[in-house]
Amino acid sequence: MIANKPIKNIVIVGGGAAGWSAAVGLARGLHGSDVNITVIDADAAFEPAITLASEHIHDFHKLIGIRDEQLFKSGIAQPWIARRFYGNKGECYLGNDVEMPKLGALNLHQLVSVSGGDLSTCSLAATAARRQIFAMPQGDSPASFRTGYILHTHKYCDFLRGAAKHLNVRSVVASVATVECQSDTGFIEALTCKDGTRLEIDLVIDHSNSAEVLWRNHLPPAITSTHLPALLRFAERAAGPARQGDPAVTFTRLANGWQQKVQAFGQTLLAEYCVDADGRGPPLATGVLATPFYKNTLAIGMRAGFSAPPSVSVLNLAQRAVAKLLDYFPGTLCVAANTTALNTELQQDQREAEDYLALLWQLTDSLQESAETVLPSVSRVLQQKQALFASSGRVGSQLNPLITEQMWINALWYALGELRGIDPLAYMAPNADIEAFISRHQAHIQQQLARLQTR
Amino acid sequence: MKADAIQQIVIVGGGTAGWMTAAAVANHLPAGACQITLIESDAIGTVGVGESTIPHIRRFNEILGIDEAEFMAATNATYKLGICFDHWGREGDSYIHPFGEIGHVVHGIEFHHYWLKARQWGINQPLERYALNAVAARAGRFPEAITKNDNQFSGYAYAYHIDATAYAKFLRNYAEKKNVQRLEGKVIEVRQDSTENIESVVLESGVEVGGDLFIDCTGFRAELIEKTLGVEFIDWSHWLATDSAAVVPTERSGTIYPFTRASARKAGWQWCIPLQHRAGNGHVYASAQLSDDEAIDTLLNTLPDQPLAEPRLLRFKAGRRKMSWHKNCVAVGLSSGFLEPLESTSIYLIQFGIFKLLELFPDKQFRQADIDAYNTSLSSVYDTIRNFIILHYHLNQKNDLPFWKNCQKMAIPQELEALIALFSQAGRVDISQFGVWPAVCIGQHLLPEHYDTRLDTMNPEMIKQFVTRCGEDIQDETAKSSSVNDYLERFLTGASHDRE
Repeated sequence: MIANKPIKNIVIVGGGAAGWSAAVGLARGLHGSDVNITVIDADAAFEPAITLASEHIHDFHKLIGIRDEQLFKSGIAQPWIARRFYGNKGECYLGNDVEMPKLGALNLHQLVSVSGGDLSTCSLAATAARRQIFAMPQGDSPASFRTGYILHTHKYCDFLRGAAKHLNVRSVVASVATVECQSDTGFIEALTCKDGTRLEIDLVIDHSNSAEVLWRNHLPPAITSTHLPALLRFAERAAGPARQGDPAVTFTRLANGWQQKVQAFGQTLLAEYCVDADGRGPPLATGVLATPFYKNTLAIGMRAGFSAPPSVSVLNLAQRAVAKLLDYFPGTLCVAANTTALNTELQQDQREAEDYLALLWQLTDSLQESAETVLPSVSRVLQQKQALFASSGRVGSQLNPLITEQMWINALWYALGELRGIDPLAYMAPNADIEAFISRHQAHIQQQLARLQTR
Repeated sequence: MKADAIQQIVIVGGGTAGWMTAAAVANHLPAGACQITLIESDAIGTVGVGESTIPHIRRFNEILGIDEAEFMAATNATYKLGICFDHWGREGDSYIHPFGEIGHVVHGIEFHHYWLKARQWGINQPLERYALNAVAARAGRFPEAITKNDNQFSGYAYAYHIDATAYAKFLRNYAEKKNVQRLEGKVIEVRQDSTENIESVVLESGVEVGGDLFIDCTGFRAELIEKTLGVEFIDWSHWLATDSAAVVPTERSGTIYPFTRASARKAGWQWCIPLQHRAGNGHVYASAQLSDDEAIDTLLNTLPDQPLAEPRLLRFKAGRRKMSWHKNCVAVGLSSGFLEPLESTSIYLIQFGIFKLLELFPDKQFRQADIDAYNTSLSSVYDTIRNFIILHYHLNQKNDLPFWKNCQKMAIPQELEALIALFSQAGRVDISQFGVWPAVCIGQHLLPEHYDTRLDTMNPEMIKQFVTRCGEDIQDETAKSSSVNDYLERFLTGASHDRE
């Protein structure tokens, strides 16, 4: 039997925020093992200039030991706490809530449905965002939430590059010229760059701009998206100075896609994901790889699959993929069952991100007078989620989810509107108790905001 | 809508499932919101096994606000730290499947990888030496550290051996205090409305009991879910061939060992469950391969102590209901499915079904999405535990016994095949699974081909020290711990003093 040796040489093809995240994540996670990590800092897959990172970024920063104050001070990141959706019928806010308080076993949103109010008034994050207040999470508050980050992608990338250098990650600034594969397994065993550098390889992280960089004509199988048009164009532009930051990120539905607006770093920044954005910007292929971990290569970021705000961004998924790779870290053989298990986990993330995107898209639909539907269908899992919520306002609990229960609740509550169902137990609770519970909670939020404003 | 609220809940059947349901539902619903009626007949016996539990029962009791000492006194409970499997991989083997952790996870790598690596250097202690629960169990001790949150053993857990009939009685008392009404009598007729929903049940006495929601706790008879509503049973006997059990209580004296013993036999296995006042024993077997007489003989010849009664025979079939919830009827307990008690999951499955029902509690509309969500959850938990039980049978090397040879060779469910491949190729475990896989797989000689290769680049001295220290810490903790007998006595008397 061929020995399964420890991975010694890791090459990350394509830097960018995802590539350098992988470099830092692996250097940290493999601390103590004797590995050489090299980043080929050219050929990187597309990334937007402003990355909207969801709250998942904290998990990754914890893994690699980044203290977030550093990022604020150096203008790399600005926190955001809610998503704001605009339509011509109005607006709604989804807070980044972790959980909301319960009355016995009853979820708060069930009580709000009974009493007929607006769920966002029970979310500290959403209420603060509506009033343009940068509230930050307070320890054990019953209205806990997590911030996301608006990242200046280049600066974030530089920051990670610096961290990687400290961890002895090497880099080569030259494109890949030739790829050598093992004849029997097809594993990539060496790369030569255009500057003549030759790199021995046990494991590749692929964040390159095209499958052809590594695989020439032997492309790994891909799955096309069921929710999205096959190709979206992406355009990004600055739309004037902004005097202050916006604690919410705004999404507006366009006839053929959607627009994201942030106010950060002193500017108003727009990004559009459209079926046809007047030929501006790069085309983004939607869909995902069926096996992101293929032979001895893990594809991350846009190479693994499309994902975009308002759902979880492609950078977040890339960082989660690095953490999962560490959970299932292979040896040189990359044994099949381990690869399959890792791929299953990665696909689960991709699918959940896509489902959430489809749901938020519907939400913007419900805010439009008449929107053209670009989404042809939604997945069976999402259909079941919607049916259950319509039936009794419930969300099935899941193990280790990408989208937490409260995030599903917030989105489903608005997406289904009047169609949402109510937990029968909520009707058994006395109305007076419900009203009192909600008012108490809302008063608590107002107090917290008042305290923040006087500071 | 308020008008749609469930007002009458009828639980048909008492026993463990019936009274657990009655108690939990009465505790969960707002007082006075619903009339809960439980119908049981003294003429119909309960199965009354399921005396061995898993740690989740502690959560059930906690939610119901049940005092631990009171519960343990009422049910003659003893502590349980795991299950001891004798003769499973090969004749003469013995390993413990402990609750909780084995060793510690370091650098994100599970302990059994370190253990596999350390074997290369001749550190050849069995894996269970690195699980506090297993070491303490074999020593007949109860490590108090696992009940606290301030030490390295907080990840460990414990459960109980209980008198299940006494538990049902205890919960009956609890439920009746919460206004659950008990009706004595046999159901002789079930009436349905035009939509086939159950409208009422008629008792032998002629009394008709109407309800909005019916809970079928009639055990294997499945009076409502099967006989009335005709919901299909999915048969798993091709994977789990045992269909009978001979059971007998014995005396119990001396050291209380805090584990359930499960000893493999010729065509099945035998349990021994120590309670405070007696021990429960049972021989589970495949009647196609072993006669009842032979099964009873084996049982009586291998009892640890004097029998207290004549052996009793039980028949069953492994499988689950295609839907545990159909129309306005939810099956809880054996009416919803049966898995042999190898991993002590009967009470857990009851508990799971009840909590899921409370999470998805309906109104008179009985919306299909809620029902679907319930059935999906229940199917998945049954299937997961089924796979884990098949794993025990499948991983054996007893080629000379036809029953076991067949278990080795049989086709197993696909998901299980993938999980076994994951462990045997890479030593990895899917965290969403039930049970401590490394304990069972390694205990039955399935050693992974590869451990995590990162260990090859770590300092060997550090790995050796880490593994050795884990073992030593556990020895020390065990040595510090009281015997189960002493701890139990102190706990029960201490608690009763507190109450005075």
